[in-house]
Amino acid sequence: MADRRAGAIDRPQAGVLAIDAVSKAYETGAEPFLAIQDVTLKTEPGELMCIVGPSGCGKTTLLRCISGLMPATTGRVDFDGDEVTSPPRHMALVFQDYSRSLLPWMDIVGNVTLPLRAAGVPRKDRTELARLSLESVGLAGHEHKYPWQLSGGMQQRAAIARALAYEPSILLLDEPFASVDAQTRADLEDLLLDVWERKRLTVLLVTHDIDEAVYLASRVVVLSASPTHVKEVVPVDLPRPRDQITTKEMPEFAHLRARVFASIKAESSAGAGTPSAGAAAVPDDTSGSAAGRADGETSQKKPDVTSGTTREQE
Amino acid sequence: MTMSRIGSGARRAQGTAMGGLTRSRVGRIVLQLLLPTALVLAWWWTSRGSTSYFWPPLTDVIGSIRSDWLFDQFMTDLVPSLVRFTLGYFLAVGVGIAAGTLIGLLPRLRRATSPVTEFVRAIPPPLLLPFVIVTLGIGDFSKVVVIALGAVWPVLLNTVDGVRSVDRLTVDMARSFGLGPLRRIVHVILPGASPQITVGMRIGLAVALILMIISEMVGSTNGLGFRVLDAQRSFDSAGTYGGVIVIGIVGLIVNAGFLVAEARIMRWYRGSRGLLDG
Repeated sequence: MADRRAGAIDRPQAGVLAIDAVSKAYETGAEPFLAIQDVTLKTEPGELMCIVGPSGCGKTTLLRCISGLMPATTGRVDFDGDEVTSPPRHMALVFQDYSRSLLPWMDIVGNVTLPLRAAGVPRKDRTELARLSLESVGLAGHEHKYPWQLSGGMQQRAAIARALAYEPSILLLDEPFASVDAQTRADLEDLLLDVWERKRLTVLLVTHDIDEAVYLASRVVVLSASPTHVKEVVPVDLPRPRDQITTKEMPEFAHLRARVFASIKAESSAGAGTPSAGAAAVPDDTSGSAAGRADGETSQKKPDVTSGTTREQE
Repeated sequence: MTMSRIGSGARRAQGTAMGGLTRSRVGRIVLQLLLPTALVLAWWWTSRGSTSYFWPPLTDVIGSIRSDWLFDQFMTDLVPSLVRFTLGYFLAVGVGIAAGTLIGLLPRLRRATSPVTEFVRAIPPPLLLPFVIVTLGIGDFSKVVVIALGAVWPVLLNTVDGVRSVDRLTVDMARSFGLGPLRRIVHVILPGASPQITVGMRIGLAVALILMIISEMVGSTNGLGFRVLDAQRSFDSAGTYGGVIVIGIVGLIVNAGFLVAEARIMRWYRGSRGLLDG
């Protein structure tokens, strides 16, 4: 058990996700709405890939297809060589809305061990895994509290602990830090980097925050406006370990950030056909989280660039 | 009177010593006891020495309760009533939750069953009685069935609603972590629907109590309902009043028991909605 902490666990999977020409059309009304079109992506083993795109593009839809929650209309997704038709065992998800993804009727340790029960992990190992993963996210001592007794940031830590205890080889995160305040967000970003480096997982993180994407990623994938396809893949060669202050002060950081920003901005004005809409994908916590929640649900029907807030980050 | 004044004075003093929270709780209890006490006193005062058949003295009523229910009819009438009530109610809860979960989860089943459920629920439950007597006779079993048939609808319909309104994201979470259908139902869907299910169970409880009494008033030889009707027919007005009071007390205890159980089981719900006091 001790070696798990060091991240030296023997994992047969490498965490390679291969998305091949995936398209998803929704049957809504008279004509089907094409949410994603021909997305092809492949993760390197152990890389941290961030996906950004204009609001309302099919980020969440894509994630649901990748994770096997929803079948793609065409194309296929392979995870470590096997086609994904249902959620794979060594893939774990962290959702944006922790208040809905954690079960309020179970205490933290119950939430963390529930997936392990389903996976048939023996009780003793479950408890140990839960203890270690809660410790690794700084929640030791909160095992028997209920989610609603914790702050938002702590709840999201618990959700991350649940994902880690599941012993994934890939971690998918859907705008995981969009619902917490800025300070907590920075803490959670560093927590993710720390966990990623120690466990050597593959991480695929969807975000609408360009700074976050560049800060965390080894590669940033820019999606187009809907129908969504991969517009550009931007390699991020910033040195690691990264630091909230020094990394973000680097000229290379500013350069990469500007490049991704320009790419998205061009996309959201072109895609929407309304130049005034501007970069609706730029961090705007409220509209961003609302769009994130609605993703894959109703707002899929049209690209949501109506918020139109061209807000600079500085 | 003197005793009670000393008692409440002592309580009040203790409450002050124990701080604001306790004092307000004592204050609340005193406030809640005020009206019932006043009503009982008014009843006692206005009925004392009454010779009217319709308005027996409260002391006679209490006397009849003491002689009839402590403990002559306790085993012969009260216990059988409660057994039938308990069986009927829990049958309703079990069937209501099981069927409601299935119907809630399967849209096609819901569409197929809704005309029937809408029709049957529209029938006033006491009307089921003649029908059940015709088909099942007048034994204990038929009374249990009447209670269950009446109480099952609020449980079932609320379960359907509750199951349907479980957060899709929560279900997605469960699926993404490989929880199979059974585990999803047990750990996610039923707890998620439980706030609504308990609402149905509470309504069902009231229906079950009513049907317990009514089923005993028709074609029965024992039970609370039978005793009250029997007393009325034998011109025993004190006994009639007494029976009604006993039924009221039974209802009070059953409801209080339900609320205590609900508060414990659903603590997480009030907590997650920020409604826990303390």
